[in-house]
Amino acid sequence: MAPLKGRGLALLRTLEIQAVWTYERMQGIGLGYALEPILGQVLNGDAGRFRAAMGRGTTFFNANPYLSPAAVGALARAEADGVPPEQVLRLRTALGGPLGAIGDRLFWAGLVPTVVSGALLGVALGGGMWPVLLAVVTYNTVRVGLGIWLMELGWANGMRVGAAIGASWLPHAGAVTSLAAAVLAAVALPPAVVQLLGGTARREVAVVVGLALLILGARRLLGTRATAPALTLLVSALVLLWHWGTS
Amino acid sequence: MPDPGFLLLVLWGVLAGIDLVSFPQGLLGRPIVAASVAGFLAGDLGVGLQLGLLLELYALDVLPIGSARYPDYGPAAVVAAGAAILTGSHDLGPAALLGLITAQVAGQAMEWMRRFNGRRVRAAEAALAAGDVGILHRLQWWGLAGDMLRSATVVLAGLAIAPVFLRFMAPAGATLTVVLVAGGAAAAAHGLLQRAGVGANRRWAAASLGTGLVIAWLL
Repeated sequence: MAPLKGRGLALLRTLEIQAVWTYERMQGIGLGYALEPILGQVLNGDAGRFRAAMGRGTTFFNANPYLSPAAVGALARAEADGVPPEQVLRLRTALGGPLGAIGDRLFWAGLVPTVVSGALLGVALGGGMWPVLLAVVTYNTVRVGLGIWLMELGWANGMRVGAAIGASWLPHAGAVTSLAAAVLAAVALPPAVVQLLGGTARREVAVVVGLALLILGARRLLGTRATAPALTLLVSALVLLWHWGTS
Repeated sequence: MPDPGFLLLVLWGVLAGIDLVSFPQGLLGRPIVAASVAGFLAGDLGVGLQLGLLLELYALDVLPIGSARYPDYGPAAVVAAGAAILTGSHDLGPAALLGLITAQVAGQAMEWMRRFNGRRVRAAEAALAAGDVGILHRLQWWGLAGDMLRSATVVLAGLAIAPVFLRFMAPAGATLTVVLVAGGAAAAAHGLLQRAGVGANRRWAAASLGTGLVIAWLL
């Protein structure tokens, strides 16, 4: 197998895969932009194939952005191997679902809240800026390392990338990170609230807990549009009206 | 000439704004990060950390998946921290309320930007299908520039209205702090319940909440 050329720039471009996110193509434009440096290398000298591959490269694509390097590697390999266009497009469509489901659980429901909750706990315990910096460095190290591995995995396996991902540790990692997120968020929440109310009376802590339970209950009763921020804005408006009315 | 510190604050707000979806999605737009750095740049790290802590509770309830619509807490956290420090506001509540409102506006602006991007991509459909790399580069860079403009506008507008907003809210400051912390706790608890799901994970979360309560008691 030929070495993957242009991967550094391609990986950098996957960091902006959603810069032109649209409802019609979702991440399609960004994926094409990330594919270009590799296709430029592997189809070097064949302008016709390069333009045809780039034409396919910007069509609809939607997955978790952090797992998109796997799609970049696999699609570039398929184009380099001369796989028929309709099969390349099928691979593109087939990859979206699994990369979205695995990545959303791993990152949005797992790693992001885990790292952020760790930072919250550190700040609440008086760690200052250090827990925040540690969270950013840890997260980005994991994310870039995973991106490099995924792009190589995609390039090595081409059309068989789905099976390769399925056989790897990746589908199981989400269960671990989402449990870690639930545990760390639960540990961090009470100290964070106490830190925010620092120096206030116990009565105010009781008011906060009661109001929080009321907002949670209202959210459950009123449905998904009644989010916590929306209900908080409503209560704030009522507080302000009462305050101005009585002063 | 504008104060260099203020310019740095706006630039940081832009970076926190584009981090949400455009570039690089590296946690820079999380409120705990955005507000802390904003606090540092504006000269009071402590206030930045406190506002970051508070707004992060709200952000823990957001799952930014696919075409979901959600508030943008990055530039909002920069506005909240910058406004509180630059105006010398004492209570967290009014600044956090400004942040919460700014986050809704920034999220709505993201929606407008996506529709605008959609129109530009539709206009370039033929060139994209023909594999025109020049058009692709222009779309990509204008997309990024558009998000920078969105973030800069949100930050500048938020900071511009901050003095009047915070002065108006100041008399109810302490009560608003209680309301905003309660709202944040409710949001974080909702996110926690969603993540914990059912079964063993929920039992782990309950045990962890107990641990958190003990830590809080000892603080």
